[in-house]
Amino acid sequence: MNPFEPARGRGHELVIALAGQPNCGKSTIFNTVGGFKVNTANFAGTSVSYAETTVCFHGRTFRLIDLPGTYSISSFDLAEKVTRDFLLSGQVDVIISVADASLLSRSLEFTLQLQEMGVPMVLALNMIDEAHRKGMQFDVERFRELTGVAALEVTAVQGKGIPELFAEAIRLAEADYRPILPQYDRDVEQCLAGILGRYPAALATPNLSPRFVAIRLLEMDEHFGRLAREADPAFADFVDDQRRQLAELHGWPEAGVLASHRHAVVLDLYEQIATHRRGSSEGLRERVDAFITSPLGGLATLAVSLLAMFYSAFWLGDVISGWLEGPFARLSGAILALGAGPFESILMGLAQGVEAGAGIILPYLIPLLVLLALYEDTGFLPRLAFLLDGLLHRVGLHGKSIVPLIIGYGCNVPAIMATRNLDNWRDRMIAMLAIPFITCSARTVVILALAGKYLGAGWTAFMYLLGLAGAMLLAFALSRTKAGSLLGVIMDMPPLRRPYPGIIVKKIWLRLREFLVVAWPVIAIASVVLSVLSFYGFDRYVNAALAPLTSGVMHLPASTGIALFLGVFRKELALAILGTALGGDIGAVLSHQQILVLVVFTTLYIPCLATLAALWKEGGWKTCLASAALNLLAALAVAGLFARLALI
Amino acid sequence: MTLLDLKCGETVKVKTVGGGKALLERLRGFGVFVGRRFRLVKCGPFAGPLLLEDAANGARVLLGRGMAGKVEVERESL
Repeated sequence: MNPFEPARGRGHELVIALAGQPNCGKSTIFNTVGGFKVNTANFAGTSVSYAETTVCFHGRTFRLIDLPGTYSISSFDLAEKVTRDFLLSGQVDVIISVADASLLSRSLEFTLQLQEMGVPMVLALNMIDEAHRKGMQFDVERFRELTGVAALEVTAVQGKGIPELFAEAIRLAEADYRPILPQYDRDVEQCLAGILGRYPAALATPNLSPRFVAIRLLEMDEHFGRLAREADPAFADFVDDQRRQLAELHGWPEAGVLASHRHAVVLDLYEQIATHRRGSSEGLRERVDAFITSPLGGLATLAVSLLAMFYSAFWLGDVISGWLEGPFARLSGAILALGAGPFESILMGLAQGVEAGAGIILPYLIPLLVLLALYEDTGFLPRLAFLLDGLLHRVGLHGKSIVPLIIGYGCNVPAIMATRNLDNWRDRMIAMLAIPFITCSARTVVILALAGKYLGAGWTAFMYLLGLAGAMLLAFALSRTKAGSLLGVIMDMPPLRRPYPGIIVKKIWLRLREFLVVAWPVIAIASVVLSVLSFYGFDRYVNAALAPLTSGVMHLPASTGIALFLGVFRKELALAILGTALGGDIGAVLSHQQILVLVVFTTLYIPCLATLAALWKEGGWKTCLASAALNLLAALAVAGLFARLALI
Repeated sequence: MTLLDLKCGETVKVKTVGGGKALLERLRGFGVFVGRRFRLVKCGPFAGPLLLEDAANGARVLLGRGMAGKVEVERESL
């Protein structure tokens, strides 16, 4: 039974924040408590903005904030800045510091930084099952004695330990129980005391203790450094001097001197609470991992899984259309029998729209979502990044860009948001313009339903490569015009993990629901509108206006104009409407070459409305317009070329 | 020598980390800093990134060649 209930109404609520390093399971805990609301995956950087939910637990209402993962309080990219700003804002009543227990020695560095803030805190030792398997045991009582922070063992994917975790967090927040502030060695403490002795009143911040600010200053934090200099230049000089002396004393670089001391504290703490025994054998997992991270093995895994998706899509398509064929044939027969009028055309449009959603789109969408969920949860994607980074680097794409690009295969909108993980504007710009060339799930559906059904597996694969080639070429061209430092990738390689069926099903449902409640009604409405418009002959105007492009450039029937126009709203719409627009079965009306041209165009042309909106929001209207223009021109050029070559 | 000079399977200790403060902190977040020991698991194809394993906790990190070249390492004398 789930003790967490969604809360109604808002009053004075506790604010609980989930914070931790990337890929430690914050969003999984969030989803366990708040219902499946945010996507999760086994790679760093899945969450780039914070999610919030209000939950009722044992009669107590609280707001739960899921913050993007960050490696330290010093922020680098936009996603990490979200976390830092929120934590420093003073809104948080209790922090749940989430740590990957199997990597605790590293996670503790961040936990200690959080502890320095002096806000009530609980440590969630997540993925404890994995740590136990590796032979690690933790003395949580000892940890509490040493730090004043309660540590609880949790397996978030199974929901184990989550109610206890929240009960403890709420208890601590209500008691306002604050952690023991970490103590450093004598030199650092003397240095801190010196700084606090001269701490200017003008630097007082409402939510943060002077000690926390002094520590940030010793860490050369840019934000607090600026504040200190504004408040009192002599004080800022004094801090710089102190830091320099400390660095010289220990022979460490200035920027890392405090971090090195913290590391010593963490090591000491870790030694006292952790014991290692020999873990169970990881031989099989190791061998599978070695296979997947070899070029041939990785390629084989990719090819086999894509083929499996391809064939299950056709199998499912046959099954579903087998169910629908009879009833819908009788239904349209009944509508035709009513005669021909505006009302009948509404009914006919509705029936066709509903059938297109169920019969054309669902069979291709479901296998795709299953595959995507498996890729995400097993940790296949970072391994793909490992294999492809060398190539991507050559075309000028920052290795970290691969995460947004891969997300783009699901949907371009979160992919564009995910570019927030990139460190600089140049890399973000290149990634944002390249992403719309990536064949998202909506376009994959179009590709499978047209190229897959009529042209075969070869051409289907070709369409995928075409989109990828478009993205690569564009990135290559842009990286030549804009010089930048290509320091390259740094990312965690999480262990291969077993996907949990419960979570896979919820993930698929999260995305499928979006199709059912947003896309399908849109398709049905568009189908009705088109049916009514064509009853009055209005679709002719749209088709005539687009004829120079459809029949002129691409040698397609002018009646495809309206379908391609509607495809800008949602790419599946082009497919769903095509049958209605052409007035018959696609395979009978269009030649194979025309189908090829049509798929090429749909694969490349203007990103859908939601993607354009995301581009506008993240990159400004110039980026948005540039992207639309680039894609349209590329689509017309390639489709026009294919219309003039005898390829099939 | 830097991380770029490693052979597969070799374990080394980080001596210094070059570059600015940002790179230093970035690498620290992934556990790459002075005194840590790493094993090169393998290299990505097409002069791809290095897959390193932290000798202390088994954590694996993917490190691009640009950054790897800034990490000075030494073989440990047995």
